Amino acid sequence: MELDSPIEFHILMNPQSEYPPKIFLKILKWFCPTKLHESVEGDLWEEFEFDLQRFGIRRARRRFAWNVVRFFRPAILLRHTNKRNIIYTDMLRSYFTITFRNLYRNASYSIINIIGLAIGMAACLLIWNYVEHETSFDTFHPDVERTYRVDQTSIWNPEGGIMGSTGPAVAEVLLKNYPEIQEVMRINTPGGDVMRFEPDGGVPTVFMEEKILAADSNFFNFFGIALQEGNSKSALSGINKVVISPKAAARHFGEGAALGKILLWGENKIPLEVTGITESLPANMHFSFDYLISMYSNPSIKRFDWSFIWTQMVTYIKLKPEANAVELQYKMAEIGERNIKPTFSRLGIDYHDFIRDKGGWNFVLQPVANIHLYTVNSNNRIGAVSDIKYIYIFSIVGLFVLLIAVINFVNLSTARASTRAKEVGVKKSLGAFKSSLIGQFQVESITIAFLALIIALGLAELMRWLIGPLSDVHIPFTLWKDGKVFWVLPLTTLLIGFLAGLYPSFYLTNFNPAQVLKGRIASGLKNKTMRHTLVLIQFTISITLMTGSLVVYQQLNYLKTKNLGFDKGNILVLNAAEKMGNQLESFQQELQNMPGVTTVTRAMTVPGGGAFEDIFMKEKDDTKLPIGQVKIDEHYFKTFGLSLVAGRTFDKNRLSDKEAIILNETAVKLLGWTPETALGENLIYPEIGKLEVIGVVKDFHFQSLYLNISPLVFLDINSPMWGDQRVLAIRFNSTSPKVLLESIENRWHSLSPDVPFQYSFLNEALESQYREDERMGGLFSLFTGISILVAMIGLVGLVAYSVEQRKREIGVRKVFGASTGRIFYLINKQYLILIVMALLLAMGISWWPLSHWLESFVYRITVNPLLFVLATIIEIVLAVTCVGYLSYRAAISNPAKVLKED
Amino acid sequence: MNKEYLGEFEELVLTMVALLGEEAYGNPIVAEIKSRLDREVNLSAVHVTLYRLEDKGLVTSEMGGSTKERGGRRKRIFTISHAGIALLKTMKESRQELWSLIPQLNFTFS
Repeated sequence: MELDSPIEFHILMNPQSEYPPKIFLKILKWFCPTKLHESVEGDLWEEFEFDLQRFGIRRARRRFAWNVVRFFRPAILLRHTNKRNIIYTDMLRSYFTITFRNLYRNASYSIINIIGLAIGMAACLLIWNYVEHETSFDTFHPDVERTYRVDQTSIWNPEGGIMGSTGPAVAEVLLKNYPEIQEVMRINTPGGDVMRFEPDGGVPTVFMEEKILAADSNFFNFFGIALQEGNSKSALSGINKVVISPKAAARHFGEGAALGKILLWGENKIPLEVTGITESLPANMHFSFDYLISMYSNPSIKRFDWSFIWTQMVTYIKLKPEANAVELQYKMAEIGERNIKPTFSRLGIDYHDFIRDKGGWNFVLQPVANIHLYTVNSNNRIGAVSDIKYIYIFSIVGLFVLLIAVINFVNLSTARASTRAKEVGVKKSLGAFKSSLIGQFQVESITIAFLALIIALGLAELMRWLIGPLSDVHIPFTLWKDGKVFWVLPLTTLLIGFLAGLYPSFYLTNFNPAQVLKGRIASGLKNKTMRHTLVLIQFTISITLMTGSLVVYQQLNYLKTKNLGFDKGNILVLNAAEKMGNQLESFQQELQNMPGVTTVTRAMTVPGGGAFEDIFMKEKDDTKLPIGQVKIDEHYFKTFGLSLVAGRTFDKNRLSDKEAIILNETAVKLLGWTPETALGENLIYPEIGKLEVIGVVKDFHFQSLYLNISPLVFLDINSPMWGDQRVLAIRFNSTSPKVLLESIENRWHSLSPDVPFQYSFLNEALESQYREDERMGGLFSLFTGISILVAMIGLVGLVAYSVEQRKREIGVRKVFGASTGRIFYLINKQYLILIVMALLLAMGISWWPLSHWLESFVYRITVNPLLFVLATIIEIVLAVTCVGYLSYRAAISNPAKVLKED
Repeated sequence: MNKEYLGEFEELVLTMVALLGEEAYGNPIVAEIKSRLDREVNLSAVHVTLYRLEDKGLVTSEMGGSTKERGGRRKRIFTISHAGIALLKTMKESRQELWSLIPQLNFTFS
């Protein structure tokens, strides 16, 4: 063995170790390119000897170590494989050159390839953003992992269930009895009301505000909402305080200071001091507000403070860090017997009777971060929630779209690869390594993938602009805030490029060059089978999504057009009419006499707007039944075209009608009567006494079609029953409601200039109940469209390619007398077969999820198998249209031209 | 190679190679820069620059004979190539040309 490490030699000879540190010599040897190693080490050594004289051994050794480290730099390291490295970059450069030449030469294929993939990626990116946004709800609050909303048995629903609110009294019970609870906080919904600001000597600003909440003073301990002005510790302490959003501040005070100003709330003009202004509220919270009022500013809260059945409070608790939520929830089951039952005896209602059919008065602790996606059945009083099912659906759709795009990419690459067999043959015979050929194909497909990614980023933003107005879904693009995107995107793209390049690179590079150059390419069966399988997958996905879209559309259309049991057309509704006070009745009279008005009715709410639940008792056997109540006047039934099955409606002239009621058929049935026998029977409401049934109304949908028809009772508008809210519903026969609306509005303003005029058309208001589903349906259709578009782009590319390849075959066939139609059929046949196969697969795949989705509706359509056929026909028409021109051109081509080339 | 461009440090090292002749390798260049320009440079930086200059064809290198010093390691001696000399010349000339355009300014200051 030759002695090529003189250091060791030296060290052996000179054990005093006036030498550089051995370990660093080793390190240097490890990383320094062999070619450079000796001279570098020599220079370092020289420096060391110099240092030795200047600084002494210790410092010299230290400096040596440091100098070695300084050599650890790319310019040195990368010289390691000096020679090969240069070839490598040269090869890479040549790969890219050839890639771009190829892209350019087959520009149309390249565009199809890149655009198709880009659209797919963009759609997927948007969906990813949507999913990230939806799952980010309420995750940013302090201690959110031990913050819960207290849900309870839905006591107003005869069948029980869970509701997202409780009575006001629950909070105190929790805090007193359960030491594991650190804090309790309640939010109440006082409802939309007028907010006014009267500056000294200035013009008052008056706005009808919808987003008003009231909360206990420790609100800001629970939710991560920052105040830009004011102190969050004290902002809601005491009564008559309000924290407002920057938007509300701008509305009332413009640029001026808001803090300390007094706002007047509602018609009672309750003064509220502005004690805080929030930062703009995050979009990913399960509630939002413009006004957050300190709880007891609302005088009615005090009145209900003892109550468990005034379920208008959303109660939140924060547990101590060591507490166990499951155990606590279990313990909370005792609250019913211990705390709630006594308050019932005060009401004169039997607790056990009340709760029996609902499975007991239970409490459920709902983690706050789950509210947005997992509580769709428990009604969030203070904001809209979404459903995890949408997340699943859209994630699947996103993956489908991406899959379709990737299949395009793979298919086009493989199809095109066979034309390049010759190139491979030439390269091989000139001595190209297999690895460099594989490298070529991989670089090409990865380049295409990255080009597509760049376009996709732009497209995604473009689509977001389009989707907003089209489907009314506005999602802030927040993906970039999460660092994930910066590695997931490039990595996924790399993977897609790699996978797409896999087949051509390994399949083609295996060719025997001699055979390829003779023109015998094995592009035969195997290749085709794979392509067809992939196309089949695409068709299956397209048909599945399309059927889904059709079913969603049909279902929503069914909800919107279903006969609700009343006439919803031509009805104008004036909301918040109670603000008019005692002028309301005369105003109603006035409206009645306006031209174009058929009837006007005054009521607590309109059909479709639900009812106000309370408990009524059957006189004979004290059966208690929760029934929704609505107070109406004598014109109600006529205005809405409701029909009575028995009895009569209210009569203004009969004083006794103040204590009369009209039931719906469902209520009559639940009380054990028939419409005929019900007349003359009595119900008892504790604070009023006996209520006589004077009529029975045919069942109609007074709530949205998400709910079954439940029992309903109508009371006279002048009845002492609770409920101050009023609407005016106007049935008009005029063809131009605009003129009518204008004169009504003018009259309204002259009567009560302070009260904002709010109106809606009943049919529109009813349709808006299904907006959430409609938005999601719209979004779904949109992505279905995108996926079909991408699939069609791919199909066009593929057919264009196969026609190009088969042009000689077609020429020969034509020479032998094949007709144009025959050729057309020849080209399209295989795709038609694939589509029919896809139909069968799609039916199998989508039957279950579709029926499952439909089951979430009380009123629903059934999945019609014909829909699949319809989707298939659409798919066939699209496919034939898309490839039709190509195949037509091939079919009419002049065989002489094609064949003369050989 | 009309696109060839030398950085300031590259030019300095190249000049040093020309200056040191037979003794142009890592340590003397560092020492020379230190003594003439009072500028501390790291050995590794000089090495990297020398290799880069070699890539550009401005210097050539050869291993020298072994000595007892430096732990017996041989030196890699660098020699400036014709292209290197030519480049230094053109750089100097173009700089002088620019410099000659400045005098008017000088007068205004005096």
